[in-house]
Amino acid sequence: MTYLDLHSHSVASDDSRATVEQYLKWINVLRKRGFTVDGIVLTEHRQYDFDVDYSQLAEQYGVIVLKGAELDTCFGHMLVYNITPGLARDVDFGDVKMDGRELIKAARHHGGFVVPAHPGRFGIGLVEYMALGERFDDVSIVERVNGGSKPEENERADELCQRTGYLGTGGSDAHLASHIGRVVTEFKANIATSEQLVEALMSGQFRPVPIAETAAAPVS
Amino acid sequence: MPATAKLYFEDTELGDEIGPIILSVTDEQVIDFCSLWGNPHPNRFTDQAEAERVGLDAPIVPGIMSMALVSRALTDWAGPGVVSDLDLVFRGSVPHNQPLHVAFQISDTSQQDGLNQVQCDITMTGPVPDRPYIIGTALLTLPSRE
Repeated sequence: MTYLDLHSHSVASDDSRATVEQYLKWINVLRKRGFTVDGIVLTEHRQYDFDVDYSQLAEQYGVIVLKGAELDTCFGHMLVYNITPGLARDVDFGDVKMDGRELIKAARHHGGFVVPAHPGRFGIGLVEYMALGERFDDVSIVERVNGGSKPEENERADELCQRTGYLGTGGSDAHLASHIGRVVTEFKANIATSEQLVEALMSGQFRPVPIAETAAAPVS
Repeated sequence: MPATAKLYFEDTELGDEIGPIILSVTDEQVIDFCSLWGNPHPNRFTDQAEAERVGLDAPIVPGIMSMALVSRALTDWAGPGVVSDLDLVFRGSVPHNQPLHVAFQISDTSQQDGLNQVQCDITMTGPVPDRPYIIGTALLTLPSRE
């Protein structure tokens, strides 16, 4: 079992005020309170830095740190996991109007995986585009619980999953240290790398859980 | 030890949570603030029609007034003169005449070069936990008991 926060932003994103180390310190605060958070995925806005290496910090604090991105597309924000040099070559991460469907295909082609972020969010979520008649045949998983969304927006994401059969992940969408881990995804698999994360997503063996539900979880 | 000290570095711990401190801002207070600031009434902060003209549902609390409110809440808690940095991100319009819930979480502490510093996360929301009007951080430089 692995509990990962699949959506977080460090100061590399312009609207975040938390360093990666502050996130890792806060996760240890959560652990002292009895909650289980094994790791995080940093999903910086519109960028991916191949050179930055958090392995030393991860080891120091005992927290898994993976890297992804949250990209702007013409169909809303999309979380991208297991980003490879090939994907970064084929996709302009700074293009805020990129075709979301093409991003999904490109990510799969290069071994990555795309999960539409906060699909129930008013104005910018996938639900809005589906209501306009858009189809997303390559989507199978969406972010069902987003820690930064309003309750009614998460309800819309929940309804979307029930209506379509999409599976759902959870992430805090933290922009402050104390918001990390508010929502996590519980995976049946043990995950330590981005490749394993993609495998675990494709297995379908996961569910979003609020932090409170991790309290009784066995320490992995 | 400064005579005005309210909070000492040794009294703080990573993970401490303060609040919510419940504030509110009346129409009259915003008009007074704008008058002092040199932004005469009516404007989008004080007048319904002016607010609607620029696409707002209602008049909002000016950003610098919200910063002042947060700063005062910090110094009411931690003491005068301790705020070394205040960095806020406005994610929604701050309304008049509504309860504003301000909360601080200590997200880091450090002692370096003779400075005792505490970083606080800041959120300002409405009464129902929802997407915040404001998020941000403050860096406090606190006295030590030693």
